[in-house]
Amino acid sequence: MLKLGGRRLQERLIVSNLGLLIGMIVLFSVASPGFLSVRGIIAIQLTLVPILLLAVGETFVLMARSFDLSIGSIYILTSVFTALFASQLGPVAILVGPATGAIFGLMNGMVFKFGRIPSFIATLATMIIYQGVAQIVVTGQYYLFATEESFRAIAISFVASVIPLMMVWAMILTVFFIFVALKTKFGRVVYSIGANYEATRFSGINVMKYQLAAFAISGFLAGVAGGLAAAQQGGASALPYPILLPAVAAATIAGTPITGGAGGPHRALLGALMLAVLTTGLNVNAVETNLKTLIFGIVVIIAIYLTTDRRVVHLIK
Amino acid sequence: MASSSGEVLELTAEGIVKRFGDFVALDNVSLDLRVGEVLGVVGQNGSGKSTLMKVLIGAQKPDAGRIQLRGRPFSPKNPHDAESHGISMVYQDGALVPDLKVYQYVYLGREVTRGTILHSRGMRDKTSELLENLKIPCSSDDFIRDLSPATQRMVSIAKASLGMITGENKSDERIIILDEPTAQLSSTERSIVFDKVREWKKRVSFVIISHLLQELIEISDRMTVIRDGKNVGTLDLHEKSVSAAELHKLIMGRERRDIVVRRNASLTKVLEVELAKQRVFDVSFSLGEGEIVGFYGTIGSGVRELGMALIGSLRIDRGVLKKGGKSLGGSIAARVRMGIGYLTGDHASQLNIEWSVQRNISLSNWDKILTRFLKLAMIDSRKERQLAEEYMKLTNIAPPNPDAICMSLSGGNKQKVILARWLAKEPDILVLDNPTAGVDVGTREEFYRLLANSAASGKSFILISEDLDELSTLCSKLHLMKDGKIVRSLASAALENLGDEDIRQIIKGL
Repeated sequence: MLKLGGRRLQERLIVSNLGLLIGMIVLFSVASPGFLSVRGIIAIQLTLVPILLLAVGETFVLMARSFDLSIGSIYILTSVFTALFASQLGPVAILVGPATGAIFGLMNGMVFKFGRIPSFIATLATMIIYQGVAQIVVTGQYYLFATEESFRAIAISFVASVIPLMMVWAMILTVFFIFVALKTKFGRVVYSIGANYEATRFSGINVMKYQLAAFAISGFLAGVAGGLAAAQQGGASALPYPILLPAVAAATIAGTPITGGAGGPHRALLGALMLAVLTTGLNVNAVETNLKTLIFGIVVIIAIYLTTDRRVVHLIK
Repeated sequence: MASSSGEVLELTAEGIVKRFGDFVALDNVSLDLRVGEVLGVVGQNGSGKSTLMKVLIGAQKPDAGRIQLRGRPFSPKNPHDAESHGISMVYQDGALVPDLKVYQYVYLGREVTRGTILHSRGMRDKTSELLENLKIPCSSDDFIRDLSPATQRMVSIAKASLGMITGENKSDERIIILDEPTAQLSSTERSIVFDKVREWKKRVSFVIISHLLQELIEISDRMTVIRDGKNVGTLDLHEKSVSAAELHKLIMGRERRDIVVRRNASLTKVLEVELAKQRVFDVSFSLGEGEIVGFYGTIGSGVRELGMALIGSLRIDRGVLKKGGKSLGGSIAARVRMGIGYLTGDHASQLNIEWSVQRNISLSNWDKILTRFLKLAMIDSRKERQLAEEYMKLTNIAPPNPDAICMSLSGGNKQKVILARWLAKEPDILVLDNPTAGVDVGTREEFYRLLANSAASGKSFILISEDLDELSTLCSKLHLMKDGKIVRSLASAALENLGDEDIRQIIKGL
């Protein structure tokens, strides 16, 4: 009887990543007492929210055996659209982000499905397209202001004086999608697609439909993040923002394999936390930019290495 | 060291004992292999034959017993060590790497380097030498993926014999153990592989493990039967011919049970198929309620394509495909919704192997495991558990643990999981494509019984198989296909009176 890593290995992975997370928190707070102050905790959350939302969305796409490279561009484009309508719609403008995000996500899916183009390439293209659209929209103004109090409050009013409201939205959505992934038919099917595409197809499931939905979710969540970003900053620009790689890293370092079929949004939560803590910790300690990038990369490698164990067990029959 | 008949013994194992905790996998087992012979080893899954082989090649250490290789004590530390002494095993699943060239694959794991640079020319030449030596019809530069399955199999056997040519072995003789060498091969391919084995016999002694009793009888010099961790007998096929039925009895420990299949099917037509002049086949037939209709054909006969067309994974151009009078939808999802299922012996395309048994059974059976809450379809773990336990019991899956990961199950049990899923789904029509490939005789019997019971309760089946025994046991009607057409149809009355040999003759005559 083969003793498979299986569940025990998964638990070990979570523990080791958690350990890494706690280790970092301890290290940073020792290095700089300001890390765990109110300002520090707020800073972590502000970094966490966009990475988390994008990572959760990307996780669904990864689990469905696809790739969404356009989440960063959707994030920017939706924040631009949101800022555009903030003055007319007030707080309701916050819905512009998720709505347009979902549409862009569906469009990704359409290119993938009807163009029969591998998702990696399809979203590489849409990433550039969406970025281009964003730049066209802001032509002339370069920065769209959205300073209405009522609108901004949706993101930056505080709960318990330490938690910005945007964090609350992000956590609600994250918990919801974790539930969807683990407990619903939809989630189970998406896992199945990543685990074995052929088997899922032969079991009578319309695979395309679910992959489309995964792209829509990813776009939706990127849109939520974009809308919240516009509210938080009080405006939006079309400047390219390097959030794609941290989001994908967050989605994959804590146990969701690139090929899908395992892991899930709960892993993305852990991954996002790790990266947010890492980034903020490095900033608070005023680590030099280049060194920061280096350390970031090393931590990602370590975390992925801890994940790779599972793949190796999998190859040994 | 010679045996009483004067044959030189290549390998002897005596009194091998192996325990896993309380479970005794090998109970004082002895085995011997003569030079230049083909020894067939048969036994149920879980009988201990795989464990025995692992002990022989050093992948497991026995708790007691000793092994002698050409008269000298042999206790390999690991498979690599065993290989350098001239004994190796070719595994069932091949682990072929499709994108490598033949010589790269053959040398995989023991590449020859000059310093740090791969000595490709040397490897290529040695591989060509090996291929020529063994008369394998391919070149060192061919890509594995471009080879036919039979040739691929031969290449993996060649990989195991590499030491023979390169002189890495400490000895010249060679023992190769083949684990299910013809699994997933068509019958023409199987005969190609076995012909090669007969050729190579002069220089290599073979131990072949297989569930295909008939073929093993044809190729083996002797056969050893392992049952419940014991060697229950070694038969010398040159002294006395052995029938599959006799072997069956030794393997199972009892007579084969008869399956009762209803031969006179009701006249209600469940499926009407008229697919004329398709690209790969041209057939027309119907299926009645409670009927099991069989299709026999070798590779190229279009029979497997027919199966794929029925489930919807192969596009058909025109033609009539009606279930209960209604035309079937185009996609697999639509067909499954309309009550058609598809089960193959190739579990890689049907099973989520890293998942538990429970989750594989519930895949497709959503209606049985969901509860709805505010428009969200949630999975009810209790219902899922119940479903899994019910059908695990029905199909007798061992070990009876719904959370067991499918990868750890034996081939036969993996098949049972897929069957359990489809039985739970209860499609009106189930298309079976070589469902018992690589499955041991005991499991096969259970399968047949389940199918017969299901048919008796009104479900219909289309059985596509290359196993004539299976077809004549189960089917009330058998269509023989060749070159895409049905060339002969045998109805139940005729089938009952014909034996396997007779059917074989008919097929030869086509």
